[in-house]
Amino acid sequence: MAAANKKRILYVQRRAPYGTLYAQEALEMLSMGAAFGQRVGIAFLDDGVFQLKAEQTPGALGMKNSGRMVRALELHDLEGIYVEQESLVERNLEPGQLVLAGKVLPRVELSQLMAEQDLVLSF
Amino acid sequence: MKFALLVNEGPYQHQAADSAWHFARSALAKGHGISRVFFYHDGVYNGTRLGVVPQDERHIPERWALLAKEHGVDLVICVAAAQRRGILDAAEGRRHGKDADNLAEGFRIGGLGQLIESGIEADRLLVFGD
Amino acid sequence: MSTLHLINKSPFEKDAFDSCLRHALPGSAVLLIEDGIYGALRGTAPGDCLEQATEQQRYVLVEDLRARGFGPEALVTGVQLVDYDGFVDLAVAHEPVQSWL
Repeated sequence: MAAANKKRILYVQRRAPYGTLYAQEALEMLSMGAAFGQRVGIAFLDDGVFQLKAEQTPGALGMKNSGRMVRALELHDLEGIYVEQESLVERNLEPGQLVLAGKVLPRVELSQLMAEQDLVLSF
Repeated sequence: MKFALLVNEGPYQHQAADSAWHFARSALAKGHGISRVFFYHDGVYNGTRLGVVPQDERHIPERWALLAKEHGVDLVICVAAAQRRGILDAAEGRRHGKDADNLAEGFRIGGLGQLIESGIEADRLLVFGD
Repeated sequence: MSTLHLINKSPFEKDAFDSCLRHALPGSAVLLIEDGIYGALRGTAPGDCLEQATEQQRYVLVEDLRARGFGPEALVTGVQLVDYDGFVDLAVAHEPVQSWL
């Protein structure tokens, strides 16, 4: 498919992991489906940035490690992994504390990016 | 215009399945198409045929099935989310050695590819959830 | 085309309303459905916030408003009522449609 015919799809992650399954199942969707030949990106904002926190150890809960799933995103053919700067600052998180680098964008740029999509998937 | 819908919550507990259904019905009445409704997360519970609903209450799974029958809407339950929550069609039930199945008529089990496919083919994809 | 933002959460409970208004670009549309309609009530802090968001078109789904015991007189100014047919029209007129779950 030519690049011009490809749809721009953005997964929007606004929820923290573990308290609900939304984050995990959204990540599963991305990892299983990969990109389906489209221009797929993922954005972490609001409580979604907690998914990126390094050193998650949910073993005692018997739950799957979301941080590891997030890190695996780098293996997929994604257009971008975006992280909202203000969401990090509000939660006293620094890029160095995250499982992956991602592209840290100020809110105004992330807003623009979301508006440019063909599809926005929220979970 | 062709719409696809994603429903992320089960029936009754959340209004999402109702909102999606009302949207679908209005869109169809206006001459638009609903190519597919994809059920993910707890949304897969929309596809159980074992719900016993009080007579004065709407029957959400049957309402979906009627939409499929009358308008050819493809009702797809995500296999990964459904297995985890115990929603199985006959083939899946057998394959996993279960003694029962519970998928309602009008629904089918499908993969995530079908969500992305409908997102690509439809003019709009709307997400209903919590 | 501009975005149609859908908010289905009460602003008194969840951050969907606040986050949406922080991200909605000028010229986009915001539709309040389900418990989201509580964000348009006059005499409330979220309502004031919505009233001041004059760069966005703001809509409330009338079926959800009526179901919760409110009518147009309870809403801040600048907000338009739409029914499900109007919801469909908004989804046709805007792309993408972003749900703030």
